[in-house]
Amino acid sequence: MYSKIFLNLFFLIILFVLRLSFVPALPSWLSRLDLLIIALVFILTLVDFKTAFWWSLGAGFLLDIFSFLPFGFYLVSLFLALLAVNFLFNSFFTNRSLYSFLTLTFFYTLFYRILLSGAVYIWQFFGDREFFKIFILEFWRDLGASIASNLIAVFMLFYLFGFFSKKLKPVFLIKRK
Amino acid sequence: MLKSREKNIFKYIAVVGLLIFLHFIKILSPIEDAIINVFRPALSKIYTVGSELNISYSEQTNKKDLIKVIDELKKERNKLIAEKTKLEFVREENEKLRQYLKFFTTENYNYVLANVISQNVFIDAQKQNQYIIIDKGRKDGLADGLAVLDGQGVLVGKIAEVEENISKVFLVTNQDCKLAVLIQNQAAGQERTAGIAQGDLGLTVKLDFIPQTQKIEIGQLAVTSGLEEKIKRGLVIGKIVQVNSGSNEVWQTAVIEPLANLNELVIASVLLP
Repeated sequence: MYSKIFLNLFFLIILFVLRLSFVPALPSWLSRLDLLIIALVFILTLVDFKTAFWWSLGAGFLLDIFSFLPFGFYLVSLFLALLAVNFLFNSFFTNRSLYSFLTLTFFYTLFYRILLSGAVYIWQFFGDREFFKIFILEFWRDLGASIASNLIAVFMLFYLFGFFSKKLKPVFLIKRK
Repeated sequence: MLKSREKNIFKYIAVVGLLIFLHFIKILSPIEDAIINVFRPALSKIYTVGSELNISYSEQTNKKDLIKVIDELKKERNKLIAEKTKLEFVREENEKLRQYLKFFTTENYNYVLANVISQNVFIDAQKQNQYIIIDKGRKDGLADGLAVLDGQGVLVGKIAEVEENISKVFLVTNQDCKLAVLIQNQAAGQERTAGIAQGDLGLTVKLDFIPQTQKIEIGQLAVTSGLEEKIKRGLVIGKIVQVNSGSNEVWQTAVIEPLANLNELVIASVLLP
């Protein structure tokens, strides 16, 4: 039990550090890769919602500490996006195919970024700075880069997981004559 | 089944709400400070690794242009040697005058060295809003509006927000970064052109509202004017690469290219007042 918590915490911290410091310094589209979202999609689909929730809580908390936005923006956005993706996973993309992974990653990135941007807008609305990124082309370009890089990473990770784990292997029911 | 799922969701919402509540009543402050202090050294080292990868990638992609760049640099070096010789005379003269007037040297700046731990990572990090996060904060004497320099003493930005242990720095190319500048065009026999420079599209710096009577040329340097309370005069920002002065316009505009390589910044110094 404790070893599992420790292991999860260890990987969360590793991913967070990479997400905050290593990835943004990388060149080109690689800098838009969101490792935490990819991890959350894999945990949600391969483990369970509860573990994914604790991961989103930990990731959101750490991001909020280092961000200059009001505390809770990342926490709530990651959590609400997780709820929405969990609904999609339970209702529509129930199998663990590559298409499910790609679609869930797409929607997680989209929901998370729009929720966060919306929250920032509401916050800034009472200030005097223009901040509604949703109507700016740059927002969509950036979101597109983020979604594309996440999808490419998930595509590669899917086959990597499939190679090492049996969880993603398809199961066929053979009808005996 | 549905009811138990709904119940669970409320439980999760309650946990999130509790965490936010505990933050705002400052119970979590010691834990948050401890996390920041523990993470800071690792973050700056890992950022350096990422940045070095970025530099080597850029070097690979830029190799084709290197020969052209070398030629340009040779020309510029020769020009600078000539300028340096002239400035040496001026410096000697200046020193003598200072001795006579018993002036204090103005180059003894107080500064704080800081490591960059992250850049453009959060939601407001689209190109127009470029910023970096450094590992020094209010505790180290930093405050909003202070100038941030690179290793060569070139201005890279100014502090936008300060927290206890970290600070957010708007880079000069950030559209929210406004600086009082002077163009070094005194050689044209006129007063130096002053204005407010503002980041443009996350790539360059734009200087607006320059009267048509002022003569500015490509290659002239833009430096801080010292009109801002916390930023000293004479810090180099960049050089003019474009002048737009349509004959029908009331004002002319100039585009300044920052001299500092903002993508390769891993250590910065913050000038204290």
